[in-house]
Amino acid sequence: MGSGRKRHNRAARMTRRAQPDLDQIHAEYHAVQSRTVARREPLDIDKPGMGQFRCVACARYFVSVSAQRAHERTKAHRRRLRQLHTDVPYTVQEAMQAAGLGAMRIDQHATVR
Amino acid sequence: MRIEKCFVCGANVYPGHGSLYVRNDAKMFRFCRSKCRKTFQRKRHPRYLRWTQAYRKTHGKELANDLVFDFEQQRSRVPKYDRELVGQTLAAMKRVEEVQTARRTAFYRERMKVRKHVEQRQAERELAQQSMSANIELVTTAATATERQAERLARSSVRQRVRVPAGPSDTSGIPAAIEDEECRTNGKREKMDVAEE
Repeated sequence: MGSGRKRHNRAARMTRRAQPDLDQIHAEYHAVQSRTVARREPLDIDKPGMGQFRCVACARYFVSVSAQRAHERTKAHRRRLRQLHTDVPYTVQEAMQAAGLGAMRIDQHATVR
Repeated sequence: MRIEKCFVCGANVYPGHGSLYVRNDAKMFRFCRSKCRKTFQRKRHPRYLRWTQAYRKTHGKELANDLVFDFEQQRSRVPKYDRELVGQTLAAMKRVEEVQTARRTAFYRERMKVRKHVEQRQAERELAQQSMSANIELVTTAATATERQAERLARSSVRQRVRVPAGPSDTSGIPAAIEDEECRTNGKREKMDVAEE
């Protein structure tokens, strides 16, 4: 800081703000849902709220419980939950089938909107 | 050397083209062009983008669940070179292509059949609505008017033919079971009438 020169490095910014893909979120969300005992998140000083207040469905960290609760009331969060419960994630296999490698069993895939 | 398929749009990716993204869980995603790569980076869902093969197939726009597609598959094992096998494979590829084209065409025709009717009905409805709102009577030519009249006449004559009689006296058009029922309830006179007829 103090040099007065701002860095505009788009690639670095994208890497820094990288979010998991929807299929990764889907896998983690359902793994967490099937867990019987809640697991404690490890303390991480680099993350907001020491990484303790995390929304798995939206892959976001919050600074406090109240912030997390507020997030859970938002439309974006509820939309994501619905998506996680109704959609089957898109896979490389489905892409292959769509491209014509193997018959596409549509009923195996997601609910069509 | 292999012709890969694009993860987003499903197009062919030829050697030296497109890009490959390897995620840190070792999953590989191939893209045919920057448009597809960017779409993926924005986390758009290929199944719900109208320009992708995944959309077209899951929404019934194209032949999808057909055995003909099972001939072409990605195989991880390379077969040992065999001159005869190469010849057979090349012949089979040609045949598979033919069958696939024929089945695709048939599917397209079938799909368009329904579409034609739907479009016609939509156009008619739109026309009627517009003329209603603008308070315009649709212009009919003399030819169509006479055609319609003839149609109406034909329809009315059909109605006359299938008309079911109201009274018990005229039972000529009534099936046997009902006729019997009528006769039993209305006595002998009606039965005589029927016989006369």
